[in-house]
Amino acid sequence: MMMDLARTPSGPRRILVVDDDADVRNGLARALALRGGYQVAAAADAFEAGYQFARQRPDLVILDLVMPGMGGLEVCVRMRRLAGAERLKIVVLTAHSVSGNSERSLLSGADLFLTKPQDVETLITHIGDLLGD
Amino acid sequence: MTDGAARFDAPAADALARAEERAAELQAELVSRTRELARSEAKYRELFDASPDLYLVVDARGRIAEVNRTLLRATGYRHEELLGRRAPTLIVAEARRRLWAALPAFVESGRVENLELVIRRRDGSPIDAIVNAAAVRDESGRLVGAHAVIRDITSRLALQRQLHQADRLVATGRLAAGVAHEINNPLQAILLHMALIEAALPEDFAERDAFERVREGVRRIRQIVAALLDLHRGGEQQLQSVDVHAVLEEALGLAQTPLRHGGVRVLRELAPELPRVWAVERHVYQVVLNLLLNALDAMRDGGQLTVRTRFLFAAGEIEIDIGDTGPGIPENLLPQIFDPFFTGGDRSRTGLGLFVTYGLVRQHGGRLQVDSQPGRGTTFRVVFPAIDEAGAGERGPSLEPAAGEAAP
Repeated sequence: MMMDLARTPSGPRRILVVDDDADVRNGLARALALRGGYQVAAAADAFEAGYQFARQRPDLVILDLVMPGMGGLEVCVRMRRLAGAERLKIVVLTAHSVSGNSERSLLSGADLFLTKPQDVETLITHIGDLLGD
Repeated sequence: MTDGAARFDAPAADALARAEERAAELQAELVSRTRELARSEAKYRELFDASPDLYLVVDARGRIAEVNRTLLRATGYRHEELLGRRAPTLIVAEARRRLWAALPAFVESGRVENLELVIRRRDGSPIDAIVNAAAVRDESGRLVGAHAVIRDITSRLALQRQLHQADRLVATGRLAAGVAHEINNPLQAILLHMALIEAALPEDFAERDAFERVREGVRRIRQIVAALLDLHRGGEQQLQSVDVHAVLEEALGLAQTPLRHGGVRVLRELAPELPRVWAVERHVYQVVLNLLLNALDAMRDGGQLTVRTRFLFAAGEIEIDIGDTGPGIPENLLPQIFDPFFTGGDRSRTGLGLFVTYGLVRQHGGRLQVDSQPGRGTTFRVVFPAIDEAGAGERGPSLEPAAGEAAP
C-alpha cells in the first residue's frame, strides 16, 4: 500500500517518538506537545513504530538507537524506504554516544544525531530548524 | 779411585743435573700454573663482577665473605663495609622472617630457590629481590658457607604494578562509561519532566529554590557523565595543532578570580619557544584547567602556583609542570590518585578530575606524572609528544580511547 506522506497543509506538525524507555518516551511526548505545540504520538519499539507511523503520518520521527528487537538504525533505514518519505525528518536521540554511532545514523538516513540528555528548548529549536518553521 | 769416584760420581752428577733440570721445569710450570690460575681467577672475578646479578658469599656463621661489584653498585655499600658483616642485616626487617623460614630447608637440601626478599640499600631504600643460594660444604660434608645469587626485580615489579594499574584503569574506565551511558536515559527523562513541572508551577510556588537545587544537581550529574564519556569519544574528536601556551593562558585567565581571592601568586617559567602538539584543543584545555584547579584547591590558604613549560628536544616532547605549595599528597595515597572516584576524603569533589585528566593525556600519547612532598607541595607534569616541525602538516598520532571502547 502506498502511503501519502505529504503533509496536510494545516494543523500542528506531527512528531512520532520511538523510545523503549517509558519515562523518556512519555516525557518527550508530553514536553514536545506542551512546550512545542506539536501533535505527538509515541511508540516503544519498531513494531509499534510501524503502526503509529501508518496511522499518524508524522513530519518528524525522534528515534532511539538501542531498543529490544529491531534497533533504531534498522527502523531508520526502513522508514526512509517508504514511498513519499523524502520530506520526512528523522532525529536520532541516543544515550549511547559511542564513536561511530553518529556516522552510522546519518548513513542510515537520519537528518540529525543527538545524544541524551537534551534540554527541551534545545530539542524544540532543532526540530523547528529541521521542519523549516 | 778417581776413576771409581768418577764412575761413581758420574751418574750422581747426572742425576743431580737431571734433578736440577726437573726442578727448574717444575719451577717454570709452577710459575706458569700460578699465572694461569691468577688469570683464571681474574677471569672468574671478572665474570663474578660483571654479572647483572648480585653475588654474595657467606661463611658458616652467615658472615659476608665476598660480594661482587654489582652488589656494591646496587646497594651503595663499600666493599670493606660489608666483609664480615652478618648477611641478614642486609634484608629489611619485615622480610627477614621469610629468610628464617627458608633456613631449615636450606640446611637439609643445601638449596634456596626463588626466595623473594627485600634488600636494604645503604641509604635505606629497598630493592625487591629474588634469591637463589647453594650450600658450600667441606670434604666431610660439613656446611662451611653459601653462595647466593640475588636478582634485582625492582623495575620488573614496578612495571608489573604499572601494567596492573593500567589494566585496572581500562576496566574501571569501561565500567564508568557503561554506567554513564545508562545514566543518560533517566537523565533525559528527568530533564523532560522537569520542564513539564516547571511549566505547571504557579508563579508564587513556595519551593522554587528547592526546584532550582534539583536543576543544579542535574546540571552537575550531566557534567560528570559528559566528562566520563569524553574519554570514550576519542575517535570523534577533531585533532589539530595546538598552541599549549595559548591554552595555558586561557586556563589561567579563567582561574584568575580564585587566584586573586585565594592569595596565590603565579610564577610563570615558560619555554621561549614551544613546539605545538597534535591534540584535541578542548582536551588540552581540560587537562590544564583540572590541574590548575587542583593546585588552587591545595592552596586554600595562599601559596605559589608554578607553571613551567619545557621543550625536550632529544625526546621530541614538551613538558607542562603545574606545581603548588600546598600540603602535598601522603605517599600511601599517591598510587590511588588517578583512580576514579578517589577524593582523598574531600566529599565536595567527584573524584573524577585526575582520572579524566589521566585518560585524556593518555589518549594523546602523553604521560601524566606526579611528584609530591608532604609539607612542600605537589607538582603534576604532563608530557605530550611535540609536533615535528620538519614534518609539519603531516598527521600526528591518531587518538586512541584510553579506557577501551564501550559496546555500542
